[in-house]
Amino acid sequence: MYTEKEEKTPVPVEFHGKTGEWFGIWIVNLVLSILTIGIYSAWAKVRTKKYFYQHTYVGGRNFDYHATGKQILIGRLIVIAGLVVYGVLSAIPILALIGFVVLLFLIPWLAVRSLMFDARMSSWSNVRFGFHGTYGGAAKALILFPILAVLTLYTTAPFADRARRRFVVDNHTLGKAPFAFDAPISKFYKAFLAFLAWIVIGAVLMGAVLMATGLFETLAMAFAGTMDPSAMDDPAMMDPMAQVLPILIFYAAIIVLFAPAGALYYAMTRNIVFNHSTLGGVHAFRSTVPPLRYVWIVLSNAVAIVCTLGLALPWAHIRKSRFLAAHTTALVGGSLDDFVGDIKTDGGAVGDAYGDIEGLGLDIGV
Amino acid sequence: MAVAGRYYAAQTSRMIEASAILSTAGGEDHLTVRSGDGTALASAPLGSVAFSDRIGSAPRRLVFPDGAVFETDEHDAVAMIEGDTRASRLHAWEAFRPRLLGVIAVGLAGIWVIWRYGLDLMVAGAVALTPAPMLGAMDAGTIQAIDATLADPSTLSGGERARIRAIFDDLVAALPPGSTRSGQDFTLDFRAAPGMGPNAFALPGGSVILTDAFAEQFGEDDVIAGVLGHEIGHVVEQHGLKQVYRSLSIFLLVALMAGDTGPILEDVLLEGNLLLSLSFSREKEREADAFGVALVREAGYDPYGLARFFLELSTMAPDGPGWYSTHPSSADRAERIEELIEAP
Repeated sequence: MYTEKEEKTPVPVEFHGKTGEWFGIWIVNLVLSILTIGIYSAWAKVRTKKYFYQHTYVGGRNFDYHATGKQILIGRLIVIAGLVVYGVLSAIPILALIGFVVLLFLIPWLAVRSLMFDARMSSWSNVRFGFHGTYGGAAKALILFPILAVLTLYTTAPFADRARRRFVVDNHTLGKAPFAFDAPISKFYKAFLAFLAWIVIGAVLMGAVLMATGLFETLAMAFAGTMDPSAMDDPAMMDPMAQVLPILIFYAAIIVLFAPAGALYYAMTRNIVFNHSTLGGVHAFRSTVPPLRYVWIVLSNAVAIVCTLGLALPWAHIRKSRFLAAHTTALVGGSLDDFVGDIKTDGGAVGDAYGDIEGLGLDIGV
Repeated sequence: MAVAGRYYAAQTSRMIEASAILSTAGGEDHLTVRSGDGTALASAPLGSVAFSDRIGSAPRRLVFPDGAVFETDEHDAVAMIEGDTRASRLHAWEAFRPRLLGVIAVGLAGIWVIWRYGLDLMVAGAVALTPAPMLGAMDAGTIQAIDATLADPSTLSGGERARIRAIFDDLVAALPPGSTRSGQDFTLDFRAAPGMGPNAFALPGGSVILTDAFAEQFGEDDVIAGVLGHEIGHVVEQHGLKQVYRSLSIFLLVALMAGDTGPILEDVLLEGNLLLSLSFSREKEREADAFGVALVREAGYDPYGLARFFLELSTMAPDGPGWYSTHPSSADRAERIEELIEAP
């Protein structure tokens, strides 16, 4: 946390996107993507990013996204080509093994390229972001720490998550001004325990409801049924309830246990990261997302999307962005006019497309 | 004409209140940015100024050749200077007005076409590219999961296992050449799984699992051959693999085309679909029946074995109403199998 807080001016983050406006852009994106058998989706991605970046303001200045659809398309084509080559080569077992090892060593490089591309293609107040992470740093934060977490049966998962966040934030710059992040590990453990507590308590409650309604027996009998392609060969599976129940329970577990626990963890760690990050040594950030309300937003968004067969997606996007922005503040410790751009170089789009597929996103600038 | 806005010199975040003035000199349009006190900050021929695309109500950015930026919210004025461009027509289509209903209709029709035809194409491509070792690894993972949750080691005697395995080997040997991918192994495993009853199932890589209860209740060679043939049919026709790829394709298409669906739907789409994909459709069961009958006959077993199995099943429990079942009812299947056998 930053010390000379009193000298800083709180400047709210504002999101000016509107549902109707975004719906129009979204549906046109969707239609053009379909009509071009997916090729336009690269341009659609750019337009989407631009919409959300350009409608997000801090101190009257908005973000912007500068990649072109062509860059994204080329990146995706390279990734697809790589996957096809990998698929074909791994028909030979020894090559499959070599390919896997190569891929493992490639991941830190791809992650750095992906973050670099995203950063360089993003700007705020006419100054581009930058990313200066190294291969070694990425290998440590994205491979070594997660392996350690697994080896310690996830008891050190909070350390791994902090290492990842630190790698991402510490290596980012706005122009020449560096971001910095450090937070006590206890805060990460608190978020991790909240995540576990939600799952455990939720599972117990779900079990109790099942027992109380007598569904548990049906479930135990039917569980085998869903695992099994020819389950209908078994007379026990003829009960319609026995057929549908395991699937319902499975969805319920995702909807009630895992996804909300993930959302809870996301909100808590987002607050930690923002509240312990600084920019250029003078600016700081505040994130006050109420975790349970964030879970509610995510859950109700999902229900709305399903009930409208997806047509409520744009509304859900806007609602979530507005909610997150409303709980984010920049603590400005100097002039917003003083950022200066770094030398401009373009990262390739290869890493970016990989980031698309692997869901490696950076969580900066809202 | 003067347009009010904000000016940034290249590579700086310093925001200066300014206005842009369009003038004509020597037959060429010129754009000049002046600060409040009239100082010229940037000037260039209009043709060399890059206009950012209009997206929603976000400010427009006019980028000068030296990298300086003039930013304004006066959309109408910029649109007038810029004239009709591809980007401006795109923006017009995106406007929230009745015409958008037509776009929505085209979108829904497109989704239907993808659902009906596009998915099958994607799945066929992915299946063709999947190497056999990967399938084997997938099977090993599934068997591990089943062992951990549902199944115990088989208690069948060694002789009994050898007898069933010999039937299985006969069937595999009778497979028409070219019907399997190179490097694919068919293996038979036995498990005691009380929760599953008399049952058999196949995994995409060629692992077939038979429950002890099945061997005990349906010991007859021809019945065992019929059911194993049916399961091998699922493998050869790649039903399991196709279902897995189908759900992965749906996940990928939604992510690429519709965008972020939020953490909950993402999980449901990915995991939920995989789960649903483990149950086969009526059509796929019939395909496997047909394949199994032909294979069993080729291997020298009585093709009526599978029909007898289903008939016996139907006497054990009444079939439920057909509409909820994704599988043909047992009596119905027996009848169809007999038709298959009698057909030349």
